[in-house]
Amino acid sequence: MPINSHVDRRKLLKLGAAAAGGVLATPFISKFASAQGGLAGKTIGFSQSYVTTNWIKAQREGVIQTAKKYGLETIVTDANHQPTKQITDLEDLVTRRVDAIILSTYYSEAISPAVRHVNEAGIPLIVLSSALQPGVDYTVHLGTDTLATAKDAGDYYVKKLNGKGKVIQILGSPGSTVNQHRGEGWHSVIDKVPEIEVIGQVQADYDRAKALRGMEDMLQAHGHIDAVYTHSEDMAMGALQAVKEAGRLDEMFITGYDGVSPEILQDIMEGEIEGVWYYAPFGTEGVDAAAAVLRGEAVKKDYKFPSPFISKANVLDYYDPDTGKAKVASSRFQPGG
Amino acid sequence: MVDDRRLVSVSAIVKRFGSNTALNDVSIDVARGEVHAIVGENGAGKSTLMNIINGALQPDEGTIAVDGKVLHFSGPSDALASGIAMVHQEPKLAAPLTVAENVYMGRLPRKAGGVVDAGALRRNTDQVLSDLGLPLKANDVVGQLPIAARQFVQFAKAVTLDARLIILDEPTASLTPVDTAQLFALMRRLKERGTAFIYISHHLDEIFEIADRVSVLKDGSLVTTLDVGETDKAELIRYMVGRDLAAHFPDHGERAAGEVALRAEGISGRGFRNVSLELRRGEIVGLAGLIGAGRTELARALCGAERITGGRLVRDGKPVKFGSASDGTAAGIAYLAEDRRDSVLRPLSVMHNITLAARNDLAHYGIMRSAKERAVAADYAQRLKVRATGIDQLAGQLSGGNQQKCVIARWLLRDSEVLIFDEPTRGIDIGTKREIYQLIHALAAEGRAILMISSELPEVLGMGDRILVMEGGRISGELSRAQATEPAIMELAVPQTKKERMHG
Amino acid sequence: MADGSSGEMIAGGSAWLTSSRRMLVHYAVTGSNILALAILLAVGASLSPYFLDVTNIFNVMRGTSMVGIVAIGMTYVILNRGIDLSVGSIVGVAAILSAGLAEYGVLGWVIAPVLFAGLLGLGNGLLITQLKLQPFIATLGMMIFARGLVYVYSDGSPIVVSDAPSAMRFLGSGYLGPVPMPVIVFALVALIGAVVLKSTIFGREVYAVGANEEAARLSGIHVQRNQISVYVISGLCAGLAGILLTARLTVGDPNAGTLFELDAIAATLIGGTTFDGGVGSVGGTVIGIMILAFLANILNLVGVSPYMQMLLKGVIIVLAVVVSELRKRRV
Repeated sequence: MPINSHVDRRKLLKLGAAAAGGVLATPFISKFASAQGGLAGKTIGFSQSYVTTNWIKAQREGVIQTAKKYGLETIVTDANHQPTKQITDLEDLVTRRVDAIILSTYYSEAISPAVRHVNEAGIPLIVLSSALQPGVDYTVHLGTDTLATAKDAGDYYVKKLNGKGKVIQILGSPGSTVNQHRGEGWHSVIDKVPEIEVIGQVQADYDRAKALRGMEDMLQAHGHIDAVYTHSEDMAMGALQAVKEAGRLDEMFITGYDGVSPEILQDIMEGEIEGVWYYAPFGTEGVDAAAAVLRGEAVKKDYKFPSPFISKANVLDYYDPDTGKAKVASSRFQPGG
Repeated sequence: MVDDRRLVSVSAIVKRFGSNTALNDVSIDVARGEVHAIVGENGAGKSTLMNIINGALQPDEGTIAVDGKVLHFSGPSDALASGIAMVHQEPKLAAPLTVAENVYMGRLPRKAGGVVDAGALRRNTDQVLSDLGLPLKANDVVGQLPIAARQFVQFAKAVTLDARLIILDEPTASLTPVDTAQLFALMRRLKERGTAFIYISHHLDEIFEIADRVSVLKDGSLVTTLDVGETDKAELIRYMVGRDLAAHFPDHGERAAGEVALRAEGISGRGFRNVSLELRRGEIVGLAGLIGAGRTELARALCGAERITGGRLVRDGKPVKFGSASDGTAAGIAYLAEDRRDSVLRPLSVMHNITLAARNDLAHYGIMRSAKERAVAADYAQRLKVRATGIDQLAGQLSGGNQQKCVIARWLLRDSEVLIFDEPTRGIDIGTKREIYQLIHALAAEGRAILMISSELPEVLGMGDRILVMEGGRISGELSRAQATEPAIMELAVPQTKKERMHG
Repeated sequence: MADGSSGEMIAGGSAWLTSSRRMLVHYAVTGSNILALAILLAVGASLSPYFLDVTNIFNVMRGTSMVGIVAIGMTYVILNRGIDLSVGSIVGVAAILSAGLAEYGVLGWVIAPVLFAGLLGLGNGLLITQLKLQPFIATLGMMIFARGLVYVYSDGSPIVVSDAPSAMRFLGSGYLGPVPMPVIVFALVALIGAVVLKSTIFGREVYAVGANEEAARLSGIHVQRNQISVYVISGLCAGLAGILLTARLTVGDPNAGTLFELDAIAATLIGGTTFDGGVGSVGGTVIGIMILAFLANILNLVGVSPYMQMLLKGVIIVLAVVVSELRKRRV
């Protein structure tokens, strides 16, 4: 089923056919006649841990749209939050002898055996975002130095707070490497500044409602708060709602990560969110890399993309307030790097 | 009694639960090869005593000695190690496993490498089973055996554990006369080998058949211990209840059977076929038969709980069709289930138990009228002499007889005209039994039609104005009160092959 | 044990109606939990000066009102001797439908999602009564199916309600006096739930079927109809919780309601309802949910680390159930 029909599908479901919708199956295959760059007939597999956040969905869109451009056949799988399913997904892709696999995972440790299977089959593997564990091989890893970005965030806090302030930290799901880096990198900087104090922590699992509830407690417990450091945009928006409802938005600033959803970009534009460190979903770049590998072009093994800070000053580079949509970023992938 | 024959001696046992003394200075002993019966009303302390002897409870005072040595049991496994085993009324067995696996549970024979030696297991078990003359196979699945056979499995287990004293708690409660005869034969064989028994039963007849001595408990104290040969039923009952129960069953008096309230015309269903019967107002009809004869299935069909596949039911002259039990209750037919666990709502209060079937009459637009409900429930509880601390006490905390009274109250309150009692006195002490008999008579006298199913022949004989006997899903005969005797009923109840076995 | 029961008496006259043991029997479990809640609140107040603040109390109540409503429905199901694992996913269905249909007014964002949730509950009831599936299995299937519906409908991404209707904003974030609207909805659901259970024929039947299905059937109760009803109620409660969640966030989150089933079951058990059926009450569940919510709140206010909080929550759940079991045995 072509993915671009999903708007119509939603309309259809709105008319009351939701119950019948359970038949939509993954993996699904999208095929396009127009070939580009001699890649016709080649198939790539794309394996994700789940697709229920805006960020991951944008990643999937990027993969599918870019593959369409190249005329690649794409098999998309979704592990539905289950590491074991991602293992079988990968094994299935090997069995189907795809020409390349693009992998995005939150379970790098758990799926190592399946990755080894891919390595043994000699299928090129393009890894997006979270890195794999030592001991398994890959062809290309596209990522952001999340630890370095979090250190940048720490520097930003030190500067913005003038070396003094009380901060709340709202964390995502434990077990996610990115979540850990966002905490460690940030702490490694601000912990050196004695007068910046993390006065409360909330574990909100990247969930907006949990961040809202937790922030309410923090507002209750602390008479004065200077800043709220959240590990994702959804949690930033949850925290923002609590702060606004308490009427204390002037007292503090809020930051987050990602910058994918139009909602947070709108909030940044309106000055309610201080800003987010952009975390691109790599979907487009992933297919570009796969295409380069399939064409036999020379590629580097690791690419680190920058993670710029989106603030009120530059938000219009990422957001179009007239359409209310995020601007689609052009590919940042350069084979020579 | 010569000292050296004494196997187990229980001396001056006291057991308290909170402020309540369950056993007070009780001493009994059991000799090798003896069957020692313990009788007493419910609540007399029998179960507590048994639980102390088999180690499940620890006495507050007093001692237990085995072979003259005072021992302390901290659990049933200690007692078992000393040769004391208990066969439960509702056997605690693993239903999905085989007889052999249950008999040797925890002690399965093993081959090298820890693998179970299936061959040895089967051979050993079959050996034990044939030694005991039990009609079982090692590889029978326990869950598919009838309840009597499950008790035999426990016996086999006790024997393989070298049990020297076996405690039996109401072993015949759910057994047919044939099964009971088999059980007694088995007990006699074991007796000859020197195995002793403690035998708890409400069935005094059985005690005179199998026991050597009998001890009477009342209110936690030992009343007396007698040689069975030197006493009789009336005396035992006097000791048990402290009063004479000569008139065990109430007088039939001058009740005359009235109109037909419910008639079955050639009905068939699962477990019974082509049954015709009439239940008249003011009449008690006894229904006898062995377990598996189809009595319960028939009763459930009469009240709509089971489907009728042929024939028809006529209620007060009008043909009726029941789709479910609720149709039957709506037509004024009440069924008091065979197993009290199918009729009592243990976690709910006495009041909720009593008002359950009449809930629609006690409500206004679907909302219960709570003052009226309480008053009515209290009234019925009092009329039936339910022994409880109040109508808010949980039914599960009452004795079996009082639970049964709550269920009877439920159907009286519903004003059911046709009452089908299935084993109404099973597991109930003698005093309460008598009250229930009187109650059933009073209900008949009020003009209700009553069908009373019972496996206790004296009960059917004492209560029924007429007696129907079922065998193999059919009504095999009808006896008038004048014709009815125990042999006459058994003649109709026992299928040909079983009869031969019994006499053979 | 019959032998152990205390002195029985043939109750006469007034003794039937006024029994001090009655209070014990009926309220022992609830009572111990009220005590636990009181202790918790006292500890909270002594540890944090902000705790007994009205704003805080209502914030906590508002935060837990959605799970609370789900737990009321769960109480019916567990009392009836069932289990409903699908409630979390049904919350998600209602939440996402509410957001997706917000443009169609109250019919779209309230009535349709709640009714649809009730329909999924009906599905549970039919699977259990007609196909004779174990409740655990039937609702496990429904849990996965319903979450699938959410992802299909939303394509896995949150549906933002742009220009949320004012009624929706009011329901999610408004106040009636000092009381947040979700708390009012929760209180109403709890009140109605308690009255129906305690004082109606239907409530009696829910208890009776849970206490002894066969006895209930023989007493003329339409057992299957009753069982279906409790799953429909559970579904409707989950639906209501779903639209409240969307109203609160003005976003339909495809993950909304995830793991609600476990919190709802925990609250129900802490509240003294048992898996054996026939024992429990709505009041107990409300206390159970408050214990869970205030515990999390106090730990947050005091600054206990999030990971440590989970340890404590697990311990408290087991402890509460153990305590109520012990109390029951003593009575």
